[in-house]
Amino acid sequence: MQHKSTCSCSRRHFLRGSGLTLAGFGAASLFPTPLIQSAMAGNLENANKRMLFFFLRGGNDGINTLIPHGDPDYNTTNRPNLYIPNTSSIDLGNSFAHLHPAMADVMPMFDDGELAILHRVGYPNTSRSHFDGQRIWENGDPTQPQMFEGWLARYIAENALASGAPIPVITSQVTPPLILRGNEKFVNIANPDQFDYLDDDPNRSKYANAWRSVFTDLVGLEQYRPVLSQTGVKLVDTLDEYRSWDQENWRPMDPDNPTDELFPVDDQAIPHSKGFAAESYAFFRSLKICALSLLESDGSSNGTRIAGSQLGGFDLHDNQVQNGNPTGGRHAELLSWLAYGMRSLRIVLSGAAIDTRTYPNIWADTIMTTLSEFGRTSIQNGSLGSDHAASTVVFVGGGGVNGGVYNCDAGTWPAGIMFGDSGRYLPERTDYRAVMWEILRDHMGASPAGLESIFPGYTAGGLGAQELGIV
Amino acid sequence: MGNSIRASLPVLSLLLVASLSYGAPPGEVTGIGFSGKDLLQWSATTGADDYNVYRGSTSQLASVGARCHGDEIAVLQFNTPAIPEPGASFYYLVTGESDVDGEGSAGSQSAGPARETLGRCDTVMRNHVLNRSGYGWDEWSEDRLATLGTAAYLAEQLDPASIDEGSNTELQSRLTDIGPPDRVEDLQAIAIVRAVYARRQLEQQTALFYSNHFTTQYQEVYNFFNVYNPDLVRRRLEATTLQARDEDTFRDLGFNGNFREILEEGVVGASMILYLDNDNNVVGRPNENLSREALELHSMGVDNGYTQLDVEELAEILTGWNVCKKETPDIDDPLAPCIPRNLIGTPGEPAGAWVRNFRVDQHDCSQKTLFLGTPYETVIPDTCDGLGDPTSAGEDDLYLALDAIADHPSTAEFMSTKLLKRFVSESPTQAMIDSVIAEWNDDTHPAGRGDLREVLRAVIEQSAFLDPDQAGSKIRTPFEHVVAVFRGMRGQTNGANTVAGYMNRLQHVLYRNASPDGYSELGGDWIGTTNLLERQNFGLDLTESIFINPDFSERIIPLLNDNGISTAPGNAEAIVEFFSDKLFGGALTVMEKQAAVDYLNTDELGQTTPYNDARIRETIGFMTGYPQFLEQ
Repeated sequence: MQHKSTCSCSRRHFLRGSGLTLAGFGAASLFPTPLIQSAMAGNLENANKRMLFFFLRGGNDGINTLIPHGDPDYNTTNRPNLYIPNTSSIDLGNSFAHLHPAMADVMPMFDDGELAILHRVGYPNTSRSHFDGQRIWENGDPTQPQMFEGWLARYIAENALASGAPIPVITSQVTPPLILRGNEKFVNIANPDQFDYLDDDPNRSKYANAWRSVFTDLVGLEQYRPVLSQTGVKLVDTLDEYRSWDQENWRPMDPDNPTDELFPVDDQAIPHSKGFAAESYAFFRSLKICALSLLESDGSSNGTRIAGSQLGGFDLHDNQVQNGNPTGGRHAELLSWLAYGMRSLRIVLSGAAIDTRTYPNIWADTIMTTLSEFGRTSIQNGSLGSDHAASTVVFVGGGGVNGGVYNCDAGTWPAGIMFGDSGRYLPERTDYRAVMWEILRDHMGASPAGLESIFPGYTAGGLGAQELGIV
Repeated sequence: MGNSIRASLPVLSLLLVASLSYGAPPGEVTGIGFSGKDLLQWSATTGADDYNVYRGSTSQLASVGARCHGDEIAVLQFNTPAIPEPGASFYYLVTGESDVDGEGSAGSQSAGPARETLGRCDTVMRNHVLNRSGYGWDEWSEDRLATLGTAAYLAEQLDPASIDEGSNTELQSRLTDIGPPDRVEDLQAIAIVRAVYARRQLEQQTALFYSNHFTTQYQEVYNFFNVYNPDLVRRRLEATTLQARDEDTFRDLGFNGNFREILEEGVVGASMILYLDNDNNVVGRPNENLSREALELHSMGVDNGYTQLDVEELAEILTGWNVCKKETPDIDDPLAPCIPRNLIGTPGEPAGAWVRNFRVDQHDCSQKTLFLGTPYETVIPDTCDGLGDPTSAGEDDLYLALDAIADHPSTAEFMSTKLLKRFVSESPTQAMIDSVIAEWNDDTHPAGRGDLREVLRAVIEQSAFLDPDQAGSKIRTPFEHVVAVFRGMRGQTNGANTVAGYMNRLQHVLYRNASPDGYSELGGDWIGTTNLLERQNFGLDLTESIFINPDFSERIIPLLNDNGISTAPGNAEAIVEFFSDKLFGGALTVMEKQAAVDYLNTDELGQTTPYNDARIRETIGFMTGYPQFLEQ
């Protein structure tokens, strides 16, 4: 038996391919029967389609992300410090919309028509609460802000996406996201570098197998028993597969700058040319595991289909920008991480990274999308920041996306619209559910029959008419 | 008699009759309900003072056993409220109990073997009381509970000052070792040390409940003190001092104050003003951050009786409140002058404290109205006219607003519900909520309306708190889990270093939560693969180390020996039974206990070999990775 010291720093590295199979259960029992009972046929052509999502928590300031320069209300009166002049931002070519300059890294994807940038995405009667707002974006039902079941979990259940795959869904964030909460439990990895038991085999197998047995047999009347049972079994069954990915030793490099890691997760001898702060590393670490999970699936219908993470810190009531420098400050920093991350994902998923491993090009089969609970007030507040508001911006990227600017052009942006909600907020033009349902239906092959269980009230609310044709 | 399954007609439940190990067996169960509620009835038995009812699912009759369902029933009937899922059915066992003879057996199956119960009501409910009023079983609390009985134990916990901590040498020496907190890591360590060692378990639960309710983030407070750069030691000290002072205040008011008082200390505590940006909230340039959370998170609950207009009005009310350092005699006077900034961080900096401060010239003096058009409408008058004391004009706006918010029925409802979710049930019934609200509204209590001790008493002394069905219905937070592991193993911890690393990986880092809603009280928010993995790793890490680290270790072997359990080979069943009782209230199945016995009897390759102390310790660590240990 190998003992460790009590130093919490001792975590082992697992060589690629050397993960030992836990003894005691064969392939037949390796993957528990999913709880999913009702599987409706989806579009089989989409069996290899993949989806990535990133929740920008805190409420991203859409107005300073996709800047409506054609609107005279975007000015230094309403936003004395936040206002970014035309000359500093990126012209998106429709004589109206500009992009925050910190997001220049997404421009190749945009120019190739693979990035849709959607303004004014939200839902009616936006909650100004972070917590209700995030739940609504994740539970898919604005009429039930206190409902704790995710729309993506319902999609998975409706389409039997999870059946049979070892890790059909993966998230990498501090706690599992509500968007995937439902009867089936999915793996969430808070820190990819620490996702394993303390000891090596054989001791690890001894307790992992014993625990697996206890969790498998768990019954009883207590309300959390089913969830505990599934989670415990899922954990043990996931670890072998996860270990085989050897994520710590996967370091794809930037083809345009070969000393730059596409996912900078720690300080390197040659500093990253972007100079990202160390606090960005956790975000890039999570993006890396999301990308790797999809690549390791290797085109098999048995692989990871959905991966997600989050980026926090968008609740910028103060110091959104530096005083006197609207393109500096916290918002710019967060957007720069997001933009570089989206660029890196595109590179690795299209097989274009400098990589010692050979992974296929799955970019055409992949869509990534952002979410955020609300935008910010059209007028800045007194603290170089902005307060909670209504609609916000969503980015949707992928090889099959109809790229471009949506809802931010002369034809869709009426005068005064920045104050069209309560005299303070930019109202939504497209419901977030219309965006997400397009992705599920037209990319992920969701059966239309499941629409009302995934997004209750979609049809009655006429949300289909708000679809933008982004996929 | 006593062995047959009865009444299987259109009945929701099946009944079994248990025999007693002394005196005459009870009569057969005679009453059966046919719809939502079943009334169980049985005949008196000689020598029994009261009866315990156990319930199980018939589909698990052989494998699992029945769990405690009614504890110490003094009459000969019991109304069982729960309905099985369609297609399922329950069975019931009844045992007699007396002070003289203890509890009788649960009887035997027709085929012969004894019927299984998941522990006994006495131990299940002992652990339930200790889990919910504190941080789980330890030796002192088991003894104290046995000495006083449940009602007196809880009454004593509700009066923490009456519990002697001076003689609690392990607590006192650990606190002395940490010393006055001058870094946030010290605060985190103190929280763990108190939770592990304090006899005043409920006081610590309550202090951390309000600290979490009014959560602030160390980093934001620390950022404010850049005035002390480059003296980072001083900067850490000042930030830590603000958060420590908050918690001390909450600890006191939680038992000696009312909600109006704790609301003021929470909402305009110096650390909250800094955390939620109110130092930037000034006339003409309002910032809604604190205002919104004060209504949504700190008092009324989201969208529960207030509107966006109230958020904007309250933001104006809060204009002018910031934080500065004042000299010692002035620290409780928001209008007293601040020590000039140019003295801060210099050798000439006067003694005093960083406290909340009100600036008349930064306050919006216009009239504000809260809860417009409702029965609770409160008009806060214009103070721009220069009437009254011009140096204090507008300060009272805050107090009037807090009065109105604290008095609003939504606040009583939201806080009562939150406390019930924390201490009793994640789904409190309206009757439970109403019973707490009634105490909240009783202004004859010592601290008046919203008396926090009496509100807590109403939460803890209501019958649902001692309903056996609530045992195991919640999930321990990671903090509660880690502390319970230490307590259940006679653990040693300094509250820092290794355990701090685990609190990070478990995503439960006190005083550093980035989200103003605090850490969740709902179990569903804490169950995930990473969280389970790290809980399991923690139990292993604590019990696998070769070296006995006085700051991170357990004393499993002496605990066993002191209780007369031999640690020599060949005693695996008794060792597992001991910890099944202490860690789980006995509520493990035969199979689960056997899995631990097998673990103890085999080496890592699965070979049966005599165990040593190291394997005993690791086996107990392994048991803390059981799903039942996550429940409380």
